[in-house]
Amino acid sequence: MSHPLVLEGITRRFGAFTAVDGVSLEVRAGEIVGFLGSNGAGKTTALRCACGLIEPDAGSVRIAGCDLAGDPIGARRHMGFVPDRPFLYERLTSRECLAFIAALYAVPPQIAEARVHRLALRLQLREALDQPIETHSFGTRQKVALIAALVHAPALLMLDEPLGGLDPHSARALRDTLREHADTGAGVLVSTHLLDVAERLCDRIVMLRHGRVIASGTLAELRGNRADATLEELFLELTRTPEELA
Amino acid sequence: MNAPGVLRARLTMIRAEFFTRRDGSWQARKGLLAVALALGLTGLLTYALTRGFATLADSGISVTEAGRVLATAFGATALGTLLLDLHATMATLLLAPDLQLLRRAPIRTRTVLGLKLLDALPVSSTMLVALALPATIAFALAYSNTVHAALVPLVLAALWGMPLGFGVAVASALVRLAPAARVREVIGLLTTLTVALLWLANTFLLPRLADDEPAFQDSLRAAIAHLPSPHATSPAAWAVDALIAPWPRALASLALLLVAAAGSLALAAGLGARALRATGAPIGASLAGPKRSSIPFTASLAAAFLRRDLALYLRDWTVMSDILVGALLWTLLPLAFVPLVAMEPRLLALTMLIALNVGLGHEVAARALPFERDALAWARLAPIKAKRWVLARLPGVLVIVLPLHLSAWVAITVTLHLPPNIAAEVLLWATAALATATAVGLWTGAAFGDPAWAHPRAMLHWNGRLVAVALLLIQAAAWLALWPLLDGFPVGWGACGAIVVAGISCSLAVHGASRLLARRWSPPR
Repeated sequence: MSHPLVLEGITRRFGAFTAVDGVSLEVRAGEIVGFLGSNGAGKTTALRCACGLIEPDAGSVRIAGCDLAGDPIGARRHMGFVPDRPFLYERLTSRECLAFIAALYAVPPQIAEARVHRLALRLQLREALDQPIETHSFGTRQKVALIAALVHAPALLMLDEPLGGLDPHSARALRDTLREHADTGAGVLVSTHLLDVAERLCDRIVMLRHGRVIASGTLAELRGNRADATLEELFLELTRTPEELA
Repeated sequence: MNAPGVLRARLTMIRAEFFTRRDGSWQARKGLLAVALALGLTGLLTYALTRGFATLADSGISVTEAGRVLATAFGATALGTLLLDLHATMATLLLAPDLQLLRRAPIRTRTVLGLKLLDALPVSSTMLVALALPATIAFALAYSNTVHAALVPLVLAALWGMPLGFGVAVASALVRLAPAARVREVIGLLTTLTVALLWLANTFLLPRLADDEPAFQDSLRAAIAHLPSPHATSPAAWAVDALIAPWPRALASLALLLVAAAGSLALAAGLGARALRATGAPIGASLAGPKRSSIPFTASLAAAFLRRDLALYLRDWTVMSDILVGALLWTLLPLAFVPLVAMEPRLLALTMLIALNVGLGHEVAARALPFERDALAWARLAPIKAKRWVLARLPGVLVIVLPLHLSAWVAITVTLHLPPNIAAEVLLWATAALATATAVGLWTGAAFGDPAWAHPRAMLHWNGRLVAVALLLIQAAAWLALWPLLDGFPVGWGACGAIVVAGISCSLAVHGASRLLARRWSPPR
């Protein structure tokens, strides 16, 4: 069976600057992969390449067995994406926006409505469903964006810094939702700066520095023979600059 | 406050607007071209005004009478500056992205106000540089030795300061009543309506004023007689008085002008600082959200698109009003040439409808994709082909443009007493023009749309607006050139030829828009 996501040698340049340099990774069914890196490490660019918002200069993206370049429609059908700044129609209510997005994915109306209600209940969003999105706080928009990404129950869910702006209750609800989604056999790739969250939530960690993967594996694999090391300690050690090392 | 440091930072920001550093060398940015264009237009206006005032002087129009024309130019400057200031105030003073940063800095609110007014300077001085200054120069050249040259800088400074102060004060008061984003949209619309009214007045009123009198000199006098007297109590009249009246009265008028400007700026300083203190966090939060009737979940993609588009257009009434004003102006445009060019009813009807439809492509279709802002990213995320997305926008566009097109056709047919066969032929030609304009508009939106637009008239990047206007003129010219070419064919064949041309151009434009959407468009970071 195909993995929800396979990236092979993804490279993306902006002029002379290489933002992502030959990134390869895979997200297997049922696992949550944490995508870690310092500011400017290339996480957002890599995620945008993986979801098709920008085209990579080299490399390939396969989503649930579909090549994103060769069969973009097939690949997109299996993918949900939550950007760092949600893409929503400000003048629509959350419900209207979600109804439109559900129609884009050809989700039958009854199923879409039931999913929206279940997720809204879990994320404490029911009150806001009939309010215009322009009146929502950033955190509430993030929740709407999460429901939009899950409305078609994708085989792969990618999230770019999803926990920014969420209160502790909502952050917990989000973590539970991601785990529940992974337990259905889907893959989840989540980029975050919150190392404690990554430590508790993710099955595997991929670390990025200067657009390159510098470490990948389970927390136990990354620790190696340092069983007591926290993810924060490992991250700081691995992402240290040459100046700091000197 | 570290004034030199702040000044250096501001200068760096201004430089970044015009130049960018790449590979160790400075390169000009597009902003520089905009300045060059503005300077070119100002030069043209100066030339036209110089010729205009010279004609007045040669025709024996007295200084006092010509002063009325100058007062009108000053009045228009004050009104334009006021509207631009209101808009600029909302944009740079109350909604600027760096406002929160400045508010957190250890500087007084009045200093923040001063800094933001400095940021608004290019916009708030536009009318002064583009109209008042050229008019003053032109007047002084035509009526030499009658202008108190030493007072010109003070008069112009007062003409700039008064509407600026008033604009800031009014904007500051308005944000206490409604959210800043809404107020800015309303002011944007008011600006459009004012321009529309000025355009209508210019097109219909002035030529007729001049037409009523047989002799040119008399017609000029007749036109000037309708202008406000420079002795009336208004800042524009005080400004003219300060420039051309005998010294004692000139100084008195200047004093009045300066007191009014100082008072207005003091009012702005008080109210603006209060508004800045009050509009920290609540700008976004103060948009109280009324519950709205929901669009139901649906399995039909076409229905989903149409319902979404209708909801977006109906709720963004500033955009809708702007479109309707635009439609009115485009339809009336050909009438501006009627006094100059005798047109047979058939050609006039066709010209009016082509102007409307080409304009509608520009006004409605070109905005369709950028109107979606960042949410257009769903065209790259959802399992929908880009061409299908572009085509799915058509019903939403047609719902707006078709009623306008058909009502204009009916009105023109009835007014010009067109026989049925001619009316049908005109309708076919105009429909072909509408289809092409819609497709070209969608392409323009895909190529030059600005997802971060803040003004309904600026949904395209500035270079896109130039291209859009060029395409608009090219389309109108092409249809009017094609008309006599195909007119020689038997009845009906010409219109069929127009439909074929429209079909080919539509498919090319839609294909181009789809490619751009699929490959080049990406949301801003």
